[in-house]
Amino acid sequence: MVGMGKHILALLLTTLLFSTPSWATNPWKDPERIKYPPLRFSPPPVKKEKLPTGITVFFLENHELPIVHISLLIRAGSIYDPPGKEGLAELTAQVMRTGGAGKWTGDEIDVRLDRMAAHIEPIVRDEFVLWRINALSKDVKEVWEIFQTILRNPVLDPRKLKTALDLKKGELKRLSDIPDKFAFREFQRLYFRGNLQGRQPTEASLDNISREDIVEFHRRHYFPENITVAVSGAVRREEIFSLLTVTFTEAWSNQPLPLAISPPNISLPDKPQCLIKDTPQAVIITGHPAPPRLSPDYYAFEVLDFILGSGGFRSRIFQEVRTNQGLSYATGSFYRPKNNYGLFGTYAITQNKSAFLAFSTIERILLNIQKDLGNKEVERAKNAIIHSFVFDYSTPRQIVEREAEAFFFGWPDDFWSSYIRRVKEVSLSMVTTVARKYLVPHQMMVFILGKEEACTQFQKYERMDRKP
Amino acid sequence: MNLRHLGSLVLLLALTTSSALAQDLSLDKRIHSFELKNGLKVLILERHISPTVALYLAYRVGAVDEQEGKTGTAHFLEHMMFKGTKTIGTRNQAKEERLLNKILKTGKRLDQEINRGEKADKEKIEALKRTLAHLKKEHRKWMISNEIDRLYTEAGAININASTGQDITIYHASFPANKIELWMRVESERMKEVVLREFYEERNVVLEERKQRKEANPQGALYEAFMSLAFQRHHYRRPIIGWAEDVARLQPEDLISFKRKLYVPNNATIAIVGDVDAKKTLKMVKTYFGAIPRAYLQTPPIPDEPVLKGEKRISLDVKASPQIMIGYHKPPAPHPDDYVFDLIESILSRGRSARLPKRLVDEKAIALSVEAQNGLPGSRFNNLFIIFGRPRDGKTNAELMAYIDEILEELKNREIDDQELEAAKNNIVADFVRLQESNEGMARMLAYNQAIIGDYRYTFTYLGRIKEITPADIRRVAQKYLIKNGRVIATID
Repeated sequence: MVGMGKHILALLLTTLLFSTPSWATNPWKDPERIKYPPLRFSPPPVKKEKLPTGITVFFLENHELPIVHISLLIRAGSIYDPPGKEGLAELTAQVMRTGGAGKWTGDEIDVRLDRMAAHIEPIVRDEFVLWRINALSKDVKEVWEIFQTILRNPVLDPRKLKTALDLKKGELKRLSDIPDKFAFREFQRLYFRGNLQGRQPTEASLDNISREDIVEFHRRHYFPENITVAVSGAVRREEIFSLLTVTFTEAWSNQPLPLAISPPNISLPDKPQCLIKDTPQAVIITGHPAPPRLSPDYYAFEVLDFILGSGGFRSRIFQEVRTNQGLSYATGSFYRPKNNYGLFGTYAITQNKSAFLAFSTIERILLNIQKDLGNKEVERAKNAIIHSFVFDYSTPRQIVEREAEAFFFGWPDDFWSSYIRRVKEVSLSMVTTVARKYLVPHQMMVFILGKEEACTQFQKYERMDRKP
Repeated sequence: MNLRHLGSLVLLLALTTSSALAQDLSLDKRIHSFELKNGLKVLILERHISPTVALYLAYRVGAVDEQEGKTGTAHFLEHMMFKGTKTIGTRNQAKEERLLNKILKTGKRLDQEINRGEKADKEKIEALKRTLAHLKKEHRKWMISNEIDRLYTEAGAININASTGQDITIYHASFPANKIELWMRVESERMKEVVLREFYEERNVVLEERKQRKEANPQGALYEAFMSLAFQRHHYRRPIIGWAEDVARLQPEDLISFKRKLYVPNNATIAIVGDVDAKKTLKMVKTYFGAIPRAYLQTPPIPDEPVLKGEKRISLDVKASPQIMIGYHKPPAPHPDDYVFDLIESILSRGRSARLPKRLVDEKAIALSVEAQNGLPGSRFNNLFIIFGRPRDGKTNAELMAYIDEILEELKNREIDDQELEAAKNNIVADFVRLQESNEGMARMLAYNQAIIGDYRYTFTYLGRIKEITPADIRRVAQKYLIKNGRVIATID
């Protein structure tokens, strides 16, 4: 009976896995042979105009929905935090939003915005603050009036500053509760140590921030020459430009500052850096210097990153670490190109006992790609990047924000319009060349957050290729 | 996922904006709705802003439909649906078939031996592991891994993903407008059948996912403990990802049997939003999905939740900062009181001036964050209205809860004024408009409402109900449901 049982099981499995249903009359055609019509792709033209004060406005009118988006990119990001006062840029933006403006208290502004269901919120990044305003078309004038008062005459109520400080400190205390988030923060701090980019707010740096610092930061960073504007949605050009002109025409007292950010001077530790934490999974992150956005290597490196770990299930790291070995749910790579420097990284979240196995698998992939990359893999990655480019033009807001971003960072005027052509020009040898140039073993930082068990696995670690 | 109430707002917008605007937003008239002979529902909305299309395929099946002891089946199956089909992902079907069957037999024997615990024969385990490794290596020669994702990615698709809920499983991707046929080709074949390649490797991936979401993340751990306390008998008590012990024992036949019963056209909805021609698109849907036969839907019986006399509490022993969840039992949509709860959620926590953040984060400085959410963990059965809170440094969950209670008491004892009510309704409206900006948001909403409520038009009719809600309704519903009897509280202290 036992033997029979086995046969029945085998039969059942066969049936379950490969049975051909009787109704399946039409054999499936090969997906590779599907003929597609050409894609009609002509993004709506964005108007680029200058206001009398020199502010550049990108504008796209679209009336499908009764909503207006206004985005402002402002050189007021966290990289401009004075030493010892890390967190100032973020607090400034927060307290501008909550601490009242002109004759209104912060609470009055909240009630008015909520009544109109409008949003005014800042997103603070390293090199800029992105203020996003959105409102129903009928309310755009009133919402802009509130925002421009926040921008020019924030009250910066000390009570709201205290709230913002307490909330930020509370979040910092809880950071280590979420191991992966904590690990990425520590990785950033260690990778860029000694540089502007490696600084992070701490309880001590927050304690150093006074209301006067906020007043001064606002004065030094929030003025017309530091701002690029993007507007999209259901609003007529005349209406929005008349609002913007009233706000920005009068010369503000500030003068442009030399705001160029020097590239970081990266000096990577020779040994893996480990942070011990009692957590069920280890987080392993690596970092390499990578080409800046304006480097000729940028396009080839985008393709390389896609192949390595950001290009979906078939990218090499995901395929090997997750699919083939079942070591990790979250694994892959990232490429962060800035104007004058770049960072390439890989990551895996895995059981503590598998930490070194996951890392060494990734390390091998980074080395092998310098030798075994083929034309087919490069062409597939290029196709994916080129074919999905159209999604960067999905909504009016996306379209104007992209143009504004390119202008804000001083990228060439044809940066986006030439993007597809430049990716098409990338060849196998170009990708192999950038892989060899940048994925140099002795220029890699290895960071582990996990139990001692995970960290000790790295004690005997020697880089696979130590030759400079 | 609490999308259904967002759908109800078009009409409300019509109330607050000009009539011309309201006319522009009558999307219900622009939606092409069909039902194929096999029961598959198809919703198509043409939008020509950009040459892109969002494609959503929703099955009305989720963790709640799993048998006891087989938790995690729906979610694991969702992972396995990306492993390919008979024609996608193979180099030689016959050779693959033989090897796959050997792999599955060996894997099962290995599981059985491991599951003997201390009595397990270690040598036998090692031998089986070696055999399995060898078979997997052989199998790799005849299969093509991750081929569905490769096809989609190379075609330029983005947001290629799926999500499993208690009530619903959704597969979605966004394609350049000229390539939707590829989606039809792949999705229709995997609706019919899927080949369970790399089963054991993926089971490990799911267990890692569970660790990441539920064990390493205190919020995930708290949510899991809270739900298993809130429901004693109903399947909502079980985590969507499954209990680790169940997942580790799941076998291929568990997944296939689950799929055969429930991944059928008469249990599915397709929503397509974007730059398409509705007529041609429907023809394509019929070509690919039309021949798949309907099936008799088989779901295990789901026990009702008994009414609890008293309050339930759990304090989780986890090394993390304090947080609290407070839940109240209530009926799901489309019960009239569920609409009122959507408004209560808005009054309590949508916008900076909403009651919970305003009073507790700003004025009383007791909370780091606090918010309300209606309709968890699902919407096919009685569900919960939940408040999530994190006390400030130096404050306790008990102190925070005392203030939350005070705010809930106010809802019962004092009628809300017109201005606050208007803001609460308007916030829901604007969120709806924002959701519509993306093809993905619109497609998700249509697919969800059709699959869960049974009618996509819910999106457009619900609004009238919201409009009718009065301050007295809010007070009545608060008095009826926001009570200590039956309340569930979970904390990390």
